[in-house]
Amino acid sequence: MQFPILSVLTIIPLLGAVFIATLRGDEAIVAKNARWTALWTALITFILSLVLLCNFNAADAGFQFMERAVWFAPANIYYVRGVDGISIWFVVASALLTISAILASWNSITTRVPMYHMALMVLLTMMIGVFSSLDLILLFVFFEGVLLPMFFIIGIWGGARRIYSSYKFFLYTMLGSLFMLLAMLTIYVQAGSTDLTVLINHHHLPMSVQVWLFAAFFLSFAIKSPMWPVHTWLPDAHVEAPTAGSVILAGILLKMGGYGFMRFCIQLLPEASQLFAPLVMILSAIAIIYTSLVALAQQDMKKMIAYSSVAHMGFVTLGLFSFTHQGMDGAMLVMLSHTIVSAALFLCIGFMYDRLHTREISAYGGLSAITPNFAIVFMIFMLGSVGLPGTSGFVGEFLSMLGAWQTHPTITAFAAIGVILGAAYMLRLYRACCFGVPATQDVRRMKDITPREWLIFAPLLVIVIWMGIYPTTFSNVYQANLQNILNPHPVQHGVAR
Amino acid sequence: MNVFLHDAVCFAPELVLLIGALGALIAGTYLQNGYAVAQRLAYITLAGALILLFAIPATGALSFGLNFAHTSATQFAKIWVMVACVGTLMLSHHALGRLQAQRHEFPVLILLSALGMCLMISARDFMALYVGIELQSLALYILAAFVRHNEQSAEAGLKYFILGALSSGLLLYGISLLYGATGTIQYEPLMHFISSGAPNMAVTLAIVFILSALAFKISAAPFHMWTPDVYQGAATPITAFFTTAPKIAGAMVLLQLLHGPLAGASAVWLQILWATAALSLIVGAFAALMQQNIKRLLAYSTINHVGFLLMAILAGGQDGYAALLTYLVIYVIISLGAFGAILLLQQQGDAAEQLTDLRGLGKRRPRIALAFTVLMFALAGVPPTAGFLSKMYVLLAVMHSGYAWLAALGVVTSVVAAFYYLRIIKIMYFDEATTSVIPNIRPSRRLMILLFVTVILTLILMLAPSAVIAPATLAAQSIGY
Repeated sequence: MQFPILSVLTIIPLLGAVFIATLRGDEAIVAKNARWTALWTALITFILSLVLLCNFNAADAGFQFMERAVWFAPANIYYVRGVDGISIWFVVASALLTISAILASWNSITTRVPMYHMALMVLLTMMIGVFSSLDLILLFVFFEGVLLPMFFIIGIWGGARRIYSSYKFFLYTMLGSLFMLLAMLTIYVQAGSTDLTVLINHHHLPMSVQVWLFAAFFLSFAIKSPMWPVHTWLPDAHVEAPTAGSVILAGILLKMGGYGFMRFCIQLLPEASQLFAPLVMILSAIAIIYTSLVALAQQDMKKMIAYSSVAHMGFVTLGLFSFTHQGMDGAMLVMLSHTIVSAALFLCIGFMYDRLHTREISAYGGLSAITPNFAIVFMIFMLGSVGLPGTSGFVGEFLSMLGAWQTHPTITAFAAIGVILGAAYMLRLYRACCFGVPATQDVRRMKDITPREWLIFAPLLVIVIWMGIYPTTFSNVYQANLQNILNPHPVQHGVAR
Repeated sequence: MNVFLHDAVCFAPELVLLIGALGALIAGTYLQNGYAVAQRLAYITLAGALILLFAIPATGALSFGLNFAHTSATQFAKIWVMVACVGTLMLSHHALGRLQAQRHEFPVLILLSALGMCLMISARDFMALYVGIELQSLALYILAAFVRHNEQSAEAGLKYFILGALSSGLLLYGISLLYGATGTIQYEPLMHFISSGAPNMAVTLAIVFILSALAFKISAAPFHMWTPDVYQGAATPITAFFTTAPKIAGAMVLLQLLHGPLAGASAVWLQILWATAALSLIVGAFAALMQQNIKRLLAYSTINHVGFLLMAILAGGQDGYAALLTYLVIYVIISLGAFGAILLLQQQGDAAEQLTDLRGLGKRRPRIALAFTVLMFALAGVPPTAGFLSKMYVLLAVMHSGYAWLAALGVVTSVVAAFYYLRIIKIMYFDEATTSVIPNIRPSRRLMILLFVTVILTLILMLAPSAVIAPATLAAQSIGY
């Protein structure tokens, strides 16, 4: 039997959380130990996820590192784990962003520190679980489990309206995911199995059922990703969440929506997805234009980035539902790029917020002279979000529009307006923060990036540039899977290394 | 085997309960420390009954004429009734002391109602069923009013008694109609009669009356009106008892009636059942939103859970039966834990009546708050807790039976219900405490054990669901004809 690396990856953060729970003694010392424990746990998880990545065979389009055990014997539900080229990146990214999140809250979280880090660790477990579970019910358990720690992170360590936001976040997503549960149970009733490896290639659901299933899955993932018009929980959640919460939310949680579209709508229900593709693409185009315009009008930086996230996820759905290779490739790259860039932008806002305790755009100014290093870092991430060639954002947006153009040129033309609007609001943000005259004397006293913050930003900077210059490193891993989705043919599963 | 001996063996657990109850009553009356002796006797009796329940193999044979069944399903249900009774006794010790109600009648009444519930579960004859229900109900009425110097408790008892008597009347009337129409009150001949032709008016009316009465007993909407008042008025451990054991017995009676003698008249009861299930789901979810009293809130939460129980009964089939049994078990575990947490707080000198009393609990008593959080998430049915498992199993069965819209309603009301469970968690963790005084009283070991075991089970059963589902599936095979 091979080493159950996915289960180990899932359990390590949980063990970290349990260890933090057992810490006793002086409050300051407990806090310090909790931070270090969380950091080391996340580091170990990250390193292990890199091991996973190194051993991944990109030529194999099937699921790898498979684990299978009986879980729910009478109902024929199994504990099935495995990753393919699509999901493996998100496993790695979850671990990486958790490290950033822990470092970002090193000094800014001062109350109930152990509980905070326990929540982060449980969150990491759940995120890895979502992206590496291949049984519908198991996946649902993790999918839903993500809500619990996030509810606390927003509700306890959030801003002024944190309680309203945490409720909205929880109930909104729970409504969506429970309809997903109904869809999953329907699949089980229809096909007699909840094993994705069996379902994807060997079961063809009748079209009349597929339509309803698509509706349920779509609702769930549209809320999660989020798509217009069910995106309204996101700005609230982002604004009130602490920096680390926003980082994870934008970086990973939104991608669960995109990943869900790919896995459930496109892979599991291909015919219904084809049928609804124009509708989804129109919604995406509306989302891109509408939320870009809304972002343009924001005074709160976090709210602005939150709306820009909705726009970027619009490019993801646009590319995915074009059913072209370029489109899907682009959608994946937009997701990966957005994972890094949006997380980094929230970290940049966290950097500013830690110093001035305001997120008003108008409260800053002239940072290029006061904190030059930060201004450069911020610029690179800002350009990554805009999609300047040479940064990670460009490749994905370009490819997804190229793909979408081939099937629905009119919709794509509208969506392209969003690219211009994206540049407009990001440049407006950057100009207001970094150029001009400082708004107050406090701005002049802002300190530049500390070594700890360099540690947070450096890996993300490298990835943004790398992905912009040589995206093949990232896209190579899932090419075989995309081929497989577009030209389905039975593949052998469980060919693990 | 001798017929008498065979009957006695099947009836042995009930006999033990009866002897134990009477023994405790006599000992409690004549001995100085009556309460302590009666309580110890009750533990021993319940343990003895449990051992017998495990030991006597379920043959499925009928005894006492055709009136009393001993199947693996009745065995399963009775075991969990006993567990609920043991849990209640563990919960009650300190609370009764605080309320100055440590009287020896308490364990006796618990034993007697347990006996009534066992009779209900095993009854294969409407007369036996009625006797069982009455025995159980009378004990429960007295229990509701047990803290007799407390006005609310007395009011709860009276209210429960009057409405309960009404529903017993309905039940009796239904039974008499059934007898008039068919000439028998035994399940097996009834089943043949009812399945042989279309139900006539008398049978239809009888089913409506019987179902209404049973819906009252398990507090399903629209017969739930007594529930919040009684739950709030009764002493907390007694509320815990109301939440758990009678629900097992009531649900089992409904299940065995509807999928037994009344199976042929499903055209009549199906619509009643889905309407009741849907109403319970809705009432339980929406009426709880504005509650300020913890016990009142849990009363409405119970009604919502009863909706799920009815859904499982509606679904029927092996899946539905197993789902019902699984749901009952997990629900009993979670409920005992939740009341355990409340009582542990009260025992340590905290106020835990109104929701606002829980403010700042996350800081004040982090461990109890964590346990309570897990249990609330379990009641809400959020993974990774066992509450999700049971809800999912019921939804699965309902989907199988084709009531997709009811499953959807269950899901929507679960989201609404999640709101008020979240509110409790919010109050514990997000709100600042109003009091900073932490009374330093040693926590009761019994309550700690109970809370710990229930929380661990709530989490473990998600990882190893077979521990419940396998026996439940096995037991389900003996249901239906």
